[in-house]
Amino acid sequence: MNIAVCVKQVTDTEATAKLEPSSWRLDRSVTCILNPYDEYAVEEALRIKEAHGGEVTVVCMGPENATDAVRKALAMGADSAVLVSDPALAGSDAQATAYVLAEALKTFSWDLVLFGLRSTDGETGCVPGAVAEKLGVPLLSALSKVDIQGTTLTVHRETDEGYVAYECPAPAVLSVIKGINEPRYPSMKGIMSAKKKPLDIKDVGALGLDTTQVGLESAKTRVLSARSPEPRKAGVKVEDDGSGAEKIADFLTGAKLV
Amino acid sequence: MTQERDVLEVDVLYVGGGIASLSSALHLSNLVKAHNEQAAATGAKRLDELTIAVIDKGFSPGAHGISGAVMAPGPLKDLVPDFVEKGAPLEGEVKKESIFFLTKKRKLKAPFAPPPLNNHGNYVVSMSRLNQWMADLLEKNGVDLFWEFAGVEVLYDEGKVIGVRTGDKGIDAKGEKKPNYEPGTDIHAGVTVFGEGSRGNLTKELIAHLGLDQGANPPAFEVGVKEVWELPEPRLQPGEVVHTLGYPLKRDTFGGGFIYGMKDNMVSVGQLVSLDYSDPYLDPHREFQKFKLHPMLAALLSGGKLVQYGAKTVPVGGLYSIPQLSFPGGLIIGDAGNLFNSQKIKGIDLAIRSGMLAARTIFDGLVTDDLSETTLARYAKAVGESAEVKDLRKVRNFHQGMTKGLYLGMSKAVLQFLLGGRDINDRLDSKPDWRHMKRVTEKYGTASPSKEAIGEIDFDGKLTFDKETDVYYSGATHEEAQPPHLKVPDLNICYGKCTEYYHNPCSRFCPAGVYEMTTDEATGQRTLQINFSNCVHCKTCDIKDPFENIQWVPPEGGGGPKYTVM
Amino acid sequence: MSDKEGILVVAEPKDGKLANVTLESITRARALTGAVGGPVSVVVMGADTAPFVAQAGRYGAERVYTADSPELAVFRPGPFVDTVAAAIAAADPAVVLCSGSPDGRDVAAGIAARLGLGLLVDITAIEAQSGAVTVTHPCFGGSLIVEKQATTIPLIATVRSNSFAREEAAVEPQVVALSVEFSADSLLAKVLAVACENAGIVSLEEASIIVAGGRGVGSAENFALIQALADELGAAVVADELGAAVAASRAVVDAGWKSHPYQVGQTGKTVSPGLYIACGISGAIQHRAGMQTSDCIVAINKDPDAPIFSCADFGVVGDLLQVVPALTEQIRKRKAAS
Repeated sequence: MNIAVCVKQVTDTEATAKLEPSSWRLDRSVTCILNPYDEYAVEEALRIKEAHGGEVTVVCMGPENATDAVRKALAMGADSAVLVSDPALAGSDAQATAYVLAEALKTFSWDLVLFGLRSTDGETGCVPGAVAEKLGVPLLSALSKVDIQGTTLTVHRETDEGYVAYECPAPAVLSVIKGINEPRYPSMKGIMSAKKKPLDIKDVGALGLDTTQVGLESAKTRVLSARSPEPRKAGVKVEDDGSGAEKIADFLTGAKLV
Repeated sequence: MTQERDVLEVDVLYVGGGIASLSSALHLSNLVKAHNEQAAATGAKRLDELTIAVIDKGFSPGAHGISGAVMAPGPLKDLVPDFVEKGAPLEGEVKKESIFFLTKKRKLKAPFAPPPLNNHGNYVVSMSRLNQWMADLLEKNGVDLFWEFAGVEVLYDEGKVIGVRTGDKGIDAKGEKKPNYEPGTDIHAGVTVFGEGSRGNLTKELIAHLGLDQGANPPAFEVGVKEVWELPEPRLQPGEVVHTLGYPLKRDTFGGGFIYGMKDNMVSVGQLVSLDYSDPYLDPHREFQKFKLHPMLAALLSGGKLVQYGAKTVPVGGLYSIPQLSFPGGLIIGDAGNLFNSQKIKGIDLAIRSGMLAARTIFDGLVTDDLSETTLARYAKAVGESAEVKDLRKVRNFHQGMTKGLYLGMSKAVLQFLLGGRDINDRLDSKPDWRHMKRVTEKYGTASPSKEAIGEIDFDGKLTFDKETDVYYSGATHEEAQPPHLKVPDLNICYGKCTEYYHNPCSRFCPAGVYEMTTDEATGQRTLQINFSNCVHCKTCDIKDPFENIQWVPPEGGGGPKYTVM
Repeated sequence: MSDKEGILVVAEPKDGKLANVTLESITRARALTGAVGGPVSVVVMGADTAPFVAQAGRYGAERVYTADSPELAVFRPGPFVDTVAAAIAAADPAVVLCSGSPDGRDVAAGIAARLGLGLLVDITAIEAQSGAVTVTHPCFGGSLIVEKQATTIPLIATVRSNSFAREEAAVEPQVVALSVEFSADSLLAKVLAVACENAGIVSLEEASIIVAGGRGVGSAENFALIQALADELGAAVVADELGAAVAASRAVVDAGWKSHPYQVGQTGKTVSPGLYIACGISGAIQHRAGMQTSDCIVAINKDPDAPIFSCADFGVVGDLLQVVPALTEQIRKRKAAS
């Protein structure tokens, strides 16, 4: 079973997030990492490969230094990678990203496309659904379990109450949640061999992309402003003289919270 | 999942990815490249398929790189002659410099900077940024850089160092293997170079194992606590340097403050405190917060924003604390070898210089196919003959002179400076930092010193911050599901003698709030809580615990601070 | 300008009724018709949508599109996207609002891709002026507030729960039954089973009330007091709310009193409930990072200088072991009296 894993490079979650005021794009001068949610997708793909055979191909859209994130997925054990990178793609929104990924996915054959649940920076979680739509294959999102028998998938989709089990034939687009597995650590040998694995960097021309559908200009959403929220102010503080609980209850009732 | 331990064979292994190792690996790869190009023309033997590897416990290049920092550019210029053109991250050239003696409210400016502190022509730099830049150069040279891999054990073969074992990953808090358990790798190397920085955990073990410190003074350390701030408007030129003495440190404590101008209205402020202090209630983080309350600092930082926090020890033991730097199978470079000039407060130039000399020695050995102990020993000789270490000779008793406290020490320093190092004694004695701590009753004359006597302050959250807030700004995180990497072998000492004599100073000397003594109100049961996730890897606990009852071992690779501008 | 008018709310069912976020979206939509035109329509999908129609009307939906099919009994992106696409074709709205839940996100993503629409996710506010619609989206755990617009009409947005008020304004809705032909491809994924093993459990992220305990709780056993308060508050709030959950600070998790999934803060979960009651939590910045976007924060702590008070709307300086049980009792009494 051949699997494509779509990954994204994001700014490190521990770093302070900043948008460039000129373009409202993310300031990526800070440390960049493989989107932590994508590690679960890569791990799941590797487990499927180990159980059922096949190849794992990493697909990524991003700036040229996104090779670092891609190499991490290769170091974990993926076989090859396609990075779509072109200045014309800068500022693409989730819809344009889905278009680019779908076009890249059309250039080779696969049985499954795996995504992490969402990215830690964009946080839209909408790219898997849009890619599935563009590829015309079923979407199964937020999965906590993936089983494969022949070409049939049995999956669990997490809900608040428990899960819904679905059955679906491949090909399909899946997104997996944190906790579906424990992503492996890249080994030193894995890191060294990742440097030699095929990494195909494609630009807009190589993929034959419609440039009116990508980049900041074409985005179907635009950012008007970005600001830090007002810091919270301290409210009322009382000493407990035995009536503290009553005062809290009064406050909650007054604020219609209870 | 791999369950068997991988063995990786490399030609040269650098343990620790700081400036010393990165400089050395860069120099070595440059020498090899030049040699091979020449060999193509002359038909000499090429050095093919040479593997140079660097391992580091940090998350990414520079993540654990922290320094003041003012750098004397000589060695960097020798390493990368066109470093300015190549875009080295220099905050600014030092053109303006002053030194102040501070009292609580006032400042007294020295008419000129004393020659050891004359920094004109030097550069203010950020260690994290310099490391990032250098790591990029190494990548281009094909050096293998392994971030998130901590060395946990030196591998020996009958007294010869043959490499290093990296830490296992995927072990939970109880020590059990998780599903993603990944055993550490045994890296076997022709030469292993230890560039672990101040109080390197493997270097410490190595020195003891091979007896490399025979005849040397015990090492001595200072801890530097630092914050980078972003100011609302330009108040200090990039490259401007201010040093201070006096407030807030008590008279018997040696140390000093620094203020360095960086690019983009950023400023690096920090304070060094010598770890041979005797006051069990001293808290280097608190003393640094007090430093910022001085009117000069408060005015500078007013309206500004804290950007990053960090702390790190600095080896200040000087010439006599330098261990034997070469041994069968390897070398020690940079701070790990206590190569630091405490009087000039400089180590970057020594780190780069020693790294380059190590590279040269190894390269010569590779070309002649002779990496014997004799060849490697040439490195130690070359270090001793370098201008930077000759400088150390002049100030060889500086730190020991200071152990008597600022005022007494000051006169000795002046004397030593005038005599060019030929002090009254040829070599001053010194005892390890942990032995300097006095009991609370001895220090304060009472078992319950007042808040005022101790010098406690409340943190306002604007100019001064508690440890938790500062740690947040260090970016320090660790995988929570792992055993604590701070080992306290005998808790009875903590609850018994240490409480009685010193009132558990670990809760104060740690600048990251790792150690907390909690009391169950109902039962009165006391527990030493180790918040290992806060650890910024400064190593103060490993040095200063009065019973040597704390051992710092590396956590799972990738943990620790995430410095980017320190 | 486009001739598209009105707002279409994509209904999300929850336990046989409409989810709160749907009712909140309908309520908010009513206020926008002045700028983007009417009507407020709702599309309801399920095996039997009759109860949804009535509820939508009660909250002011002027028109309700219904799709009744066994294929729509349990959520699947395929048939749900097909149905919403049909509803958009029928309603021709200027704005489409979906739920911010995983289901709503999948539908919105599919629709936006199919129809080429600008998609705005996880919005907490929506304003309209002379046809221009602006939404607010907090990102990076609430550390940045971004205002956005879409360049397409209609725009499609997913709405975060608890962002708008929920007010009844009963109308008799016009009911339009949609006839949707599901493509074979849309039905490829089949539902095998629905497991409700955690029925009744309230997830931290979804909870509308969180009672959190810190080191001041003192022991694992004392967490029963925290749980009791959460249970009482959960039962006291209106029945269709998401309920109350218990959380813990890192100190508590480190001490082993609670497991990691309960942890709120920098290395734990980020939550944004309507009410957050911090008991015996000092409120270090690492903890505040995970909860400071809560609508209302109440703090109980012995230490009057605890940083938690700097972000609390109401604080009591006192022993939580006294105050918390007393508060539980107060809530119980007031509930009985009402």
